[in-house]
Amino acid sequence: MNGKFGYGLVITVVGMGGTILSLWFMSFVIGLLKRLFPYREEAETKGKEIV
Amino acid sequence: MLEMIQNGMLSLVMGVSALTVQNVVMIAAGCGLLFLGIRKNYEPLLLVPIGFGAILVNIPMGGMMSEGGLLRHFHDFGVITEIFPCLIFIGIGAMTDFTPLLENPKILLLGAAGQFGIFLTLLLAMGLGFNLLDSVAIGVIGACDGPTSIFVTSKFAPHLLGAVSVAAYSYMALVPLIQPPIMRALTTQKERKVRMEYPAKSVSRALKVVFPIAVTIVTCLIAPMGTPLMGMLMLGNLMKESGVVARLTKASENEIANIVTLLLGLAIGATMDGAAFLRGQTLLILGLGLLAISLDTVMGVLFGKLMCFLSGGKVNPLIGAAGISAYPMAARVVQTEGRKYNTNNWLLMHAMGANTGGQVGSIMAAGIMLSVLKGMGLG
Repeated sequence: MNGKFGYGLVITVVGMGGTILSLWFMSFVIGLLKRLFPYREEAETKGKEIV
Repeated sequence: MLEMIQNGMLSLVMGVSALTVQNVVMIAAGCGLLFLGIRKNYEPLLLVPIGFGAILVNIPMGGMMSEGGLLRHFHDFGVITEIFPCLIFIGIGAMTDFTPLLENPKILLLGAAGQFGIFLTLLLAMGLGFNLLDSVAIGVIGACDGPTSIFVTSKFAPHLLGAVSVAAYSYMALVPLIQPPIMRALTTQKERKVRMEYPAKSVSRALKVVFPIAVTIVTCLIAPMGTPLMGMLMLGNLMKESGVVARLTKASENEIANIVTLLLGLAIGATMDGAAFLRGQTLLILGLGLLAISLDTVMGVLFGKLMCFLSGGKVNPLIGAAGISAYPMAARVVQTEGRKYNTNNWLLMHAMGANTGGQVGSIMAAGIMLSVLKGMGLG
């Protein structure tokens, strides 16, 4: 695993795995944020009126 | 006196006499890019300055890329320092609406699958004899994201900048031709007809404001080397969503984006000097770039099929093809393909979600790749 292909393989495996894991984690974080900042129709409409 | 006139006349043909075959070929290639941009309307904002830059740099004795030359200044100031790609991202962030992604966060995974072509192409490039850093630069064409490709290539393989950036931008423009055959080959008629319902409105303004801050903190902590790109993308988006810096947002999506696009395009075109560009290696890079984007589409659609299976047929696998960074072209392609098989099917917003996921995913993939390289002592 020390050769050129070893490095390539490491980048591929860590890159693909890391990308999918980090975006999965990000989607989980977005889910949490949606609970923390829920959509309320009244508030959103009111906000628009002010703008 | 006669000799002086003779010398004066000779100086008028110096340019023509210094013209090489490579110059002529590259001037023709520049005209080809102009044709695609002007006549075919393929990414004219990019292809017109790139094509014109290619013509300018191949005019012998014009000195555009010599020390102190005009295009050399643009290139050294904006590309070598990576300032242009980062500034472009502020504009992209200010123009991007992440609402479809926030409505359905799971779709972000399609933005990850759509980057797998980067890594598969990297291995293939190594197999074809490129060294590791050159292979990284070639693979990143698969990000389908011009600024990211330039950012990575100028770091690791500046000698490939011309070929990589031309491939990245040209294939981005050709997404409507590259993707549909792959999408059709990998899906059944039944899958292509799957209708996706729109979720009820569920994104608050507060969430839209918090999103860019959260993405910046989370993703940049995971892959710090991607911070310049992700940071600028999310700064642009924060300015847009916060609504408190309208002037800066307008400047980002108009003046800054326009000026930088023009200078970046010219600087990329300027790397297409015949002597350096016309090599077998360039053709190989263009071929691998095409393969990278095709593999992105394959992996995206296959992941879409997996999501379709796991959701009990509620996800149309076509939206997987939009998990690349070519925004909003890839989403439009999905919408057009979907409607060919079910005229009442409106996949656009779902595809937009996957497409914005692809933007985040491409920067993430590049950031992770850079961070891993640094971790291995190669970056």
